[in-house]
Amino acid sequence: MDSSKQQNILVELKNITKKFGALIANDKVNLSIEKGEIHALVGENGAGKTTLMNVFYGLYQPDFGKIYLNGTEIHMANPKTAISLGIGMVHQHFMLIPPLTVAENIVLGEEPGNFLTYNKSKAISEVQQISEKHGLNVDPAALVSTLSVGTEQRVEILKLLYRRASILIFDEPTAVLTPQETKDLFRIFNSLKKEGKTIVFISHKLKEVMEISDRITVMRQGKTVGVLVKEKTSEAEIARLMVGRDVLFIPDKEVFPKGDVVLEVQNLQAVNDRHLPALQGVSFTVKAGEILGVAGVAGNGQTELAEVLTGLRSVKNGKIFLKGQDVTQDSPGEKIKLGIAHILGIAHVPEDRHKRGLILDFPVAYNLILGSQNKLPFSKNLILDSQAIQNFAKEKIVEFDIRPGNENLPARYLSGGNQQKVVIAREFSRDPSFLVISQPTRGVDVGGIEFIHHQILSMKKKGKAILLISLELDEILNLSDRIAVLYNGKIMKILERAAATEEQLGLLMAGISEYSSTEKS
Amino acid sequence: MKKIAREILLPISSIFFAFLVGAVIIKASGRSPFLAYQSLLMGGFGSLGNLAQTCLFSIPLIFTGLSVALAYKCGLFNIGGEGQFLLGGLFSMAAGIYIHAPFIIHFPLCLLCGFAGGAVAGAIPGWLKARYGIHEVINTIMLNWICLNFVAYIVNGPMKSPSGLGTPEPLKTAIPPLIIPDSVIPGNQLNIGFIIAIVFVLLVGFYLSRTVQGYNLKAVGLNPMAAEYGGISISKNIFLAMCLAGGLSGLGGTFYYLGDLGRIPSTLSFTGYGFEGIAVALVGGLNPIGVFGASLLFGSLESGGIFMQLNANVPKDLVTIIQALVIIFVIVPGLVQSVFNWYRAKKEKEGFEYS
Ligand SMILES: Nc1ncnc2c1ncn2[C@@H]1O[C@H](COP(=O)(O)OP(=O)(O)O)[C@@H](O)[C@H]1O
Ligand SMILES: [Mg+2]
Repeated sequence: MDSSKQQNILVELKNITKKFGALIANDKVNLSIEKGEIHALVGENGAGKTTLMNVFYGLYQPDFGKIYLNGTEIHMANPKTAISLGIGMVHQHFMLIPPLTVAENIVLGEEPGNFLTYNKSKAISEVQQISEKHGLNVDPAALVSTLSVGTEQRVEILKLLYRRASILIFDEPTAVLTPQETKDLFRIFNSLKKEGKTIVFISHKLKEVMEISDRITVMRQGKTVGVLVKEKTSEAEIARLMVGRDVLFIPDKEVFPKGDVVLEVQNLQAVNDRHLPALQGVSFTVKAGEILGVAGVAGNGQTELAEVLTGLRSVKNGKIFLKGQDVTQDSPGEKIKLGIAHILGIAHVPEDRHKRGLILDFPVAYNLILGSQNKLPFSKNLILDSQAIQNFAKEKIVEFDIRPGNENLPARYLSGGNQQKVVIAREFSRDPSFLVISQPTRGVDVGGIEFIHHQILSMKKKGKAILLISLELDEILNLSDRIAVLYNGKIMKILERAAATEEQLGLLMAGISEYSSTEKS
Repeated sequence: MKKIAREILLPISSIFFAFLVGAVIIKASGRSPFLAYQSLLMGGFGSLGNLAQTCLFSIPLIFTGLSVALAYKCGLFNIGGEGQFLLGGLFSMAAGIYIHAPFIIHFPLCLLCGFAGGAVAGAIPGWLKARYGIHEVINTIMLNWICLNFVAYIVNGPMKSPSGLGTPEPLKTAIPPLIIPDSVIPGNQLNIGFIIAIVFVLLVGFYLSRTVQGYNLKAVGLNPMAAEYGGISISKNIFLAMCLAGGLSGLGGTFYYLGDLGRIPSTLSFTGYGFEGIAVALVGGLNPIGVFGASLLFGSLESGGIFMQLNANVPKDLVTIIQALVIIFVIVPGLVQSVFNWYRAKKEKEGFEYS
């Protein structure tokens, strides 16, 4: 083939088209990757990045399009072909077997030894060797079930290296990491690059992309919309390509006089679904007109905190006061009062809109009244008032710019960002005095993020007390007045926003309380 | 509008395909499909008498079909229709035999008892599911057998009539009256159950689409976690849905035993209406109006089948085959849909190729 004019083009994906039913996830996408570079693939959620890489990795067969490796066309029948060609992929969700050791996970399928016995010490030493070479710092004999997320990711990297992968694909690897862990990962990237490996790095965090990559391919709505060289571009340009228009980045940070304490939590304790302690004595207050951000790595008690505050999980110990009134649901053994949050005037944007926030097969209008279906004006004497429901939906669709603006469409057919707007519209319309907002922009496009952030700030302007729980540190930093870092079910520290640095938060998120700082909050 | 058209188109074309395959089978057995289907149609709808018979056969199916559809809306697969049908029959029969009251009180009371009997049989698996999370499919199947043996024991023991045919006949005031007098359509047995069944089709439809309770029930069926978040109790709704579903099947049994049979026979077995209710619900797209249509179809196959056997010399078993084919075409995911899709894809591709 003729198109690899440049000598060092290693991979060429040409006109890749992949449809899922009527949805075109990849629409004649082109991607070319040079040997030895770190190539970032960026785009909003749903842009088709994962799909493209799954096609390259042989997990999906494209409807059209060709794949070239070193100038020769390849038929990528399945991941086995890809692996044999030196292609490796670390998926968004790790694919490890928790009860096995690191070494066992890594050699799985290619165990040293003959076909009956497996040479354990050889496996361990081989894995150890690779680990040391790249500074991966993984104990081969440790059980995977005991590892942190960051370490699990390094095990995945080891797995690829063990299989002698020379092209490594990472699908949103930093989504689950603390800032420090991200730094570690980038150090590993650079070490791999030095060795001549080629890296494809999928992300939608522009700061990271600008930090680590050599070249950047931007995707939007299933199409390639630009290929950029890091030195010659900026975050703003990438963002513009991603969204298709200029994006306002920093929300207006006006300071408002704070009001009275609306929510007070004292020594809160609760267990998770597996009956293990998830909250181990959490105390804080949220004032009217204030956003208290809760930062932390996933799985440190965020889910349980939101559920306890909204009456979906019972309190084991401790107290919750709303405007001075004790609203703790702790009656042991007794069923918690469902919907208590809505009765008390607490709004809740749940962390996972598909799990709790929406009934996907209900029309948008029905989703907009969930939790108020038994109240006026939506029903009288237990009979639903369709007219009132429709009118309310039409109003909210306009107010929150929900698209497409069809209140009878099942929520399933809306994009992630618009689904989230449905949840936000519903919760913000309850006229709550206190809001628990979890992961408000997870899986939401950049335009939607901007809109949602503005909505949150306008609630604050109205004097609402807001607890904002997010895994996105940028979101916390941009919106919060104070920041609490949650680690292992405890609050490490609560900082004033002005006094908080990313560095310091990162350490706290990793469970390291710093001794050097003397600042008091 | 388009959605409704598609919802109707799919079952109709499934039925069409089922009859097409049925025709091939009749042809292969050396008989005339045309004659067979003509007599099937005549038998089902050809005269007022036959039509009345079709409607009569559809009564229990409407109730068991509604039962399955309602439970399904709450995410439950009610396979216990047989047992609920029997227990409903027993309760209403007991009321019909032992309670003395004028018709205006006695008959509604029998219906209430029939509903209650079925509801009891639904409540048990409902409670087990709501309280302990035990899967309703297993419980309802097991409860079918318990109900069968329990009712058989009562019918052949405490409630046995001197004649030994089963229970005594219910009092006149408990028997569902005929809709059309015998003098108008001689020999017809179509009783008021048909009208009450239609009322229940509308009631269930209203309940599911217009009431807060219906909203809650469907919310639990579609996403229990989100329902809970909206303040809707999962366990309460599961229990309630199973009680209502059981009650509906129980009403089916009520009309069948008080009306059609006029007693509960001593040689008791499953009637098949509970299971056919599953088929009817699925063919009817799990909505009340659809259930009504599917029940009429199955009812007409039942009444027309006898006719077909006599006229076209096609065994009535063919009716069973056609029923099975209809079910297969409707529920095998996308069998007919895939024909449509294939056609659409073909057209799309033709339009796409030039680019
Ligand atoms: N297996 C699948 N079946 C149907 N649709 C899919 C599938 N995988 C992805 N999609 C859809 O394709 C689009 C692109 O998804 P994806 O490649 O995961 O985007 P990204 O990784 O850029 O966020 C999305 O709209 C997504 O819903
Ligand atoms: Mg992805």
